[in-house]
Amino acid sequence: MNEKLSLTPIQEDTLTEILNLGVGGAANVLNQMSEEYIEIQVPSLHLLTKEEIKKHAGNDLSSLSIVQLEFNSIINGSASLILSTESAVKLASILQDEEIDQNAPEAEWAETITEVGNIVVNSIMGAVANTFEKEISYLTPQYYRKSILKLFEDENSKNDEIVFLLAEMQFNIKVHSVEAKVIIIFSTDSFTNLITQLDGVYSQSA
Amino acid sequence: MKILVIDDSRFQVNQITKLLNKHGFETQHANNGKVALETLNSENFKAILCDLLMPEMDGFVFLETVKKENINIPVIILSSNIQKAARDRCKELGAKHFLSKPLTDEQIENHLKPILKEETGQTA
Repeated sequence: MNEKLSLTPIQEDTLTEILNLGVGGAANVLNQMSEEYIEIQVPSLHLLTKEEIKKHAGNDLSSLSIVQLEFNSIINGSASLILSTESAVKLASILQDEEIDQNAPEAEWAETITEVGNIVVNSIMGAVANTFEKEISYLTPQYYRKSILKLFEDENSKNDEIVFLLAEMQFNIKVHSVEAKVIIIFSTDSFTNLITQLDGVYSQSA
Repeated sequence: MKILVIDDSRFQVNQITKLLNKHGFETQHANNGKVALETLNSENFKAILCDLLMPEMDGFVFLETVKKENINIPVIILSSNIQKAARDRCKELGAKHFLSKPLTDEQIENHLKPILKEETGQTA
């Protein structure tokens, strides 16, 4: 964690719990849509500088299917649903109830994946907004094909802020070998707000 | 009985249309609130199912316009947005219900059909 900005163990635990609620809600919606069991993992949090965030991405340049929603108001940032293209096509096949070839053009399935991203991110960020008793505004979801490294580089170039808070969550549909990840990037300009909100939530519950 | 579905996602429109057709409703689709307002003049819709996050005119502005222009068709918001603040705002703007996506048989039975019965003067 960064020396200047950090989360206390209580703040980290509070945020993890809020995100857990959101992940549970997102899994429930995905389960309703796919009629498949959705396996989830506890969110992991990382507070990283611009340099660290590149290291965190590693050198994996593989092109992934990414649905990104930018959000703002009390907290600013973006949340992205990330899948390998293979997983994206499989998931779209399940949801569209039709066999889609792995080599099929994106036009046949990307819109479905964009809507999945929209629903998953809304569930997660909705849990955050409801816990903070605030409203978070979103821009319309955008679909991209790029690597995690490129995603982070693009976030870096958009923003002069020096620290990113990353929350990573994993969703799997084991029976179809579909794996998806959600990464939320909170930018530093709203970090103080985030801490204030987390402290408020904790003091109410203590 | 015709329902106007306002959503910019083709995937959602397909899913919603299939389900509404299964329940015996006809549907028409508009890509956003602005297109929907133009469509309203040409057809007799019994209810409107409207998404929130859409380009050009989102669900909030659509609700505001419906209220301002005294358009007397019940609007049900169907959204992925689960925020209480959004739900409250929609209610204030006159939405009959705020439903979470995906649309289900239960939501149609418990929320859409009772409104249509009210509108057509039938008893439940």
